[in-house]
Amino acid sequence: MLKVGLTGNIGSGKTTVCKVFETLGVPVFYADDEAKKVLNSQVIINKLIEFLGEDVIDAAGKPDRAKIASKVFKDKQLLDKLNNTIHPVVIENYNIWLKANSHFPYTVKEAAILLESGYSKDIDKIIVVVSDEKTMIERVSKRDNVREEDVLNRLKNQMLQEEKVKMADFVINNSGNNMLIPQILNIHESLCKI
Amino acid sequence: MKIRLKKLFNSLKSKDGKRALSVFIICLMCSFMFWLFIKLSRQNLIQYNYIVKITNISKDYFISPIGKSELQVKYRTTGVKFLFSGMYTTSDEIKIDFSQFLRTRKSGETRFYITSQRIEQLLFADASNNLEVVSIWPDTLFFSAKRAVEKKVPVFFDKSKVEYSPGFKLYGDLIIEPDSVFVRLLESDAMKVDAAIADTKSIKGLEKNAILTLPLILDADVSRFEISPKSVNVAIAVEKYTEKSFDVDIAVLCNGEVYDIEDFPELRLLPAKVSVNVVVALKDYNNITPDMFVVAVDCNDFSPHPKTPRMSVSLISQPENIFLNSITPEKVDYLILK
Repeated sequence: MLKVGLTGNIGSGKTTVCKVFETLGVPVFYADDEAKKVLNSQVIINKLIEFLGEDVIDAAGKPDRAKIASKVFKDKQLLDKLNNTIHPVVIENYNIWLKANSHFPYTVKEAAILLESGYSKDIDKIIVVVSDEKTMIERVSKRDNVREEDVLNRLKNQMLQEEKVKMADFVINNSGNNMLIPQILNIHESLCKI
Repeated sequence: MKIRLKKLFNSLKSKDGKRALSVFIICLMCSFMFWLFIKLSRQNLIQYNYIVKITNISKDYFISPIGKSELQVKYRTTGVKFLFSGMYTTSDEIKIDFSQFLRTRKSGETRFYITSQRIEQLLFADASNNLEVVSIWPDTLFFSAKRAVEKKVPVFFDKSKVEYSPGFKLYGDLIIEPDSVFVRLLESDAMKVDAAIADTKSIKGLEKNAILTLPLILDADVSRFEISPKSVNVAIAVEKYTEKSFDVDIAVLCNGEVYDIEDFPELRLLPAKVSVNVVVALKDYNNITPDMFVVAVDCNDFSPHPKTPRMSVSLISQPENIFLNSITPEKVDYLILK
C-alpha cells in the first residue's frame, strides 16, 4: 500500500482536498486533528505547563489553543519543543491507523508540517497544495476569526511554498479560478496506477 | 459464335494479332483523352449551398438571422478549373468574420448585414478556386443583434433534490466547483437571473461517494443565454444512516444562553428528560452520545399564571451529520415553586 502525504501552508485548502480524496474512497489521516486530540491528554497537559506556563490552560483544565499558538508561533524554540512533545504520539497513532487501512491501494496523511517535522520520512509520495498568499490569509482569518497579522506570523513559521513544491511529487493549485476536483482526479488516477 | 471467338483469341496470340491489339488500345486511349479534354474544357454552372457561420461575434451582442442564413452560390467554371479548385473537398460551411458585417438600425433595432459583393470577395479570397461567381442568393444577409451582458452568478445545488437509495444520506458538506459561473444573456433578461442551478435530475439511487459533473441551468426562463463553464463538478459524500435514541436532560434557554435546570431552583419540569430520536451515520453510531445534544425550553415561555402549564422542547445543538426525527414528548409540564 502506498503512503501518500498531503501538505500545504495554512489556508491553502488541504482539508477541502482531503474531503475530495475521502469522497473517492481514500482513507485520510488528519495528523493535525490527531495532534489536537493528543494535546488534550493529561500527560501532554502536564508537559505544556512545564515549558509554556499555566496560563495556557483554561478554567476547564483544557489547553487553550489560541494562547498556545500565540506563544509558540512567535518563538521557534518553543514551537520545536511543542512539536517534539506531540509528534511522537501522533506518529504512533498513525501507524496503528495505517495497519487498519492496509487493504486500500493508498492512504493519505494530511499534515500542515509534513515536510518540516519529519513526518514525511516513511511517505512514498508527497502532494503539496498551494495557493496565493492573499487567499490563504483571507481563508484563515475568516475560518479562525483571527487578525491578518496573526495569520502572517503563522505563515512566516512555515516552510516557503516554493520549497515545498520542490519536494512534491504532485502539486495542487488551489488559488484563483483553478478547479480542485479535476486536479485531484488526475492524481488519484496516477496513484492508483502505481 | 463460340468458334468465331476462339479463332479471334487464337489470332491475337500471333505476332500480328498482338500488334493489332496494341494499336487498337492506343487509339482507344487517345480518343478517350480527346473526349475528356473536350468535356473538361466546356463551361458549366455549379451551384453550392453554404451555411453561413459567423465567427468572432462580439460578446456585446446575440446575433440571429433575419430570414435565410443559407447562401446559394452559382459558379461558372470549366471542368479543368473545377478539378483543380478542390471545391469538391471543401465543406458546405462559409465562415464570415463578424468584423466584415456592416451595422444599421431599423425600427429601433440594431442589425448587421453583409452584401453579396463582399461575400463574393471573401469567397475569392478564401477559396483560391479560380471560379467565376455568377450569382449569390440572397444578395444581402441580415442579422438582428440584441444587446448582451455578462454577469457572474453563484452556483446553487439543491441538496433536497438528490435521490439516495433508502437508508443513505449526504454526509458532511458538498464540494462544488466552481462555486460561481459567468452567464451571458440578453440585457433585458439580466435582472431575471440570480443563480445557475446544478441539474440534479441524473442523480438517482445514490448510495456511495461520488464525484459528478452536472450540467447547469438557469433559475429563470430566458430566451438566450450562454453559461461558462457549462457544468460543475460536485463531490458528494454518502453514508448509510440508522436510527438512534437518547434520553437527554432538558435545559433552559434564556436570551440566547443555555442554563442547566439547577440554575432555576424554583422551576420543575415534568418530565425532566426527553427522548431524542435521531438518524445517525453508521460510522458515527458509537461516537454519538447524549451529552452532544442540548434540548431546552425557552424561559420566555414561562408564565406565572398559565392556563395550560406546558412548554415546547426544542433541539438547540447537535453534532454534525445528524438528522432529527423526533423529540418525545414535544411539550413538557412545568411548575414554578413559590
